[in-house]
Amino acid sequence: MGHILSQFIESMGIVNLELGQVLMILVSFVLLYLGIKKQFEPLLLVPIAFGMFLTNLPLGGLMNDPAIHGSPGGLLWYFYQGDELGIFPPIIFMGVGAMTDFGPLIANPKSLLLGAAAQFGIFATFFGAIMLGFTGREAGSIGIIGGADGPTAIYLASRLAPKLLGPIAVAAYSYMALVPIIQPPIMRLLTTEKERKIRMAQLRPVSRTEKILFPIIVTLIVVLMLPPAAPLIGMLMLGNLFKECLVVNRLKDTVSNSLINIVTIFLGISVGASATAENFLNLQTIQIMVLGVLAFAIGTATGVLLAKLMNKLTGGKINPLIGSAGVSAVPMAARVSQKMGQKADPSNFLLMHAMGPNVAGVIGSAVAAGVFLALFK
Amino acid sequence: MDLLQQFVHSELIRGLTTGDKALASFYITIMGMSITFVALCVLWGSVSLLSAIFKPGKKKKTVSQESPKVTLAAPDEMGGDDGEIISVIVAAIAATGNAPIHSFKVKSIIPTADRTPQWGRVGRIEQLTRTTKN
Repeated sequence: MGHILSQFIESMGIVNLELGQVLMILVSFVLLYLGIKKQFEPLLLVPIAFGMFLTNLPLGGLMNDPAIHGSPGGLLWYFYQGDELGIFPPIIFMGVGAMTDFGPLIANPKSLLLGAAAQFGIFATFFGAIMLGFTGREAGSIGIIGGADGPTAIYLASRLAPKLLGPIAVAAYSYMALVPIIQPPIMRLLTTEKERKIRMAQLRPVSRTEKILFPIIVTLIVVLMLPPAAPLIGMLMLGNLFKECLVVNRLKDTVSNSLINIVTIFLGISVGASATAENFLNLQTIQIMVLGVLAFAIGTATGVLLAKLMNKLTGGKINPLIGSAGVSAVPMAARVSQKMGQKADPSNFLLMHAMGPNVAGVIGSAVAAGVFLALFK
Repeated sequence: MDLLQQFVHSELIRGLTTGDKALASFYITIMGMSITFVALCVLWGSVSLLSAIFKPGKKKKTVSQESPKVTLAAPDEMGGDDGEIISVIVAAIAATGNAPIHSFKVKSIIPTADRTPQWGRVGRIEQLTRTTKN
């Protein structure tokens, strides 16, 4: 009887709880607080934080690999295969495409330049990560955090540095959630009050034909130039074609509602579950967190600086605040531009103008990911 | 072996000096940014070409507002930030008329007098309070 009781006590999670796990559980509580109370990207942070919480509870075995721990393996391990095999991020991109209106970008294609400029944060951070001792594959995966695009960061990390997937995904999504906090000080620092008050001309209407041809042309050009970007760009543009062609509304509704929600649950919980104490509590994670925020800040700054240059070249027609929206993070980054513009002039509406660079940033970060995949395959 | 080739190799990179790593990562930074810019510039050119061919004509079906007045009520009278209210009204017209927001212009917004009887107003407030509490 005593033997059975002691065996039972030994099998209890509380007896096997380690300090690292306690710390990770506390981190997950902080993320849950940010997601639920502060409503920072709750759709992502809540499943990520709960996944992190579950995986750090001892002996739960939710992330057990069947090849190591024997069949049947952990529930979340199976979900995680969708991340590791690069299946979930392109599906999320398809949903994003079905929800995105590329009209502002088609009406003002110069925005593509701002989407490209904001990617400088990715490459500058790549340089920094190499200097800190990461390999090229790892540095590329860390740099992509600066693209402020969670699915792209997960996709690239799963291809190039699967061991760093947990910290990279947590950093990418946390910083996406913190866009309204990270970007405004940089935007204020780099622009004058007069520039922030610039009103931009109303965008021209875009025809249905243009909107239908756009996803096909983008896929054709980008994939012919950078074949490794095909899964991300292809799915993004397929989703957008569903939206714009107006003849497959059922498919469009599915990818932009049920499918993206289901995949977000699986992706969020499994990414959170990959952040175990042994994977997460180390110097590399701190370095990734610091590099990630730097990438983000540099991307924001270069976007604003190029917008300032374009403003000078066009004779004051471009409000530099829209440059920061070039770091994808759709639509939070565009909303920040709008809010900053309205602070300077309450009757100024920059949202539609900022959506151009914002969606260009999604294409830009997928292109940057394609560059790393082509270089480090 | 070429520096860049050595650099992209996960095992060989560790044998490089810090100077070599800095040089190689600088090359990749410049090359990566250039490729990103070139790709997006090609897209810019293609989208511009697409727009030149398929740009909608000037004569489009428009939903116009008849009232010539351009006066706006004071924000307090309109119940909040006037900019926000204008945006909401424009979005509502676009949604109801199934027309893009560029195709019409709101020239005037004049709030009408509230003719709801006193009892009706009290009932509405009670309903709202109940919903909020739930």
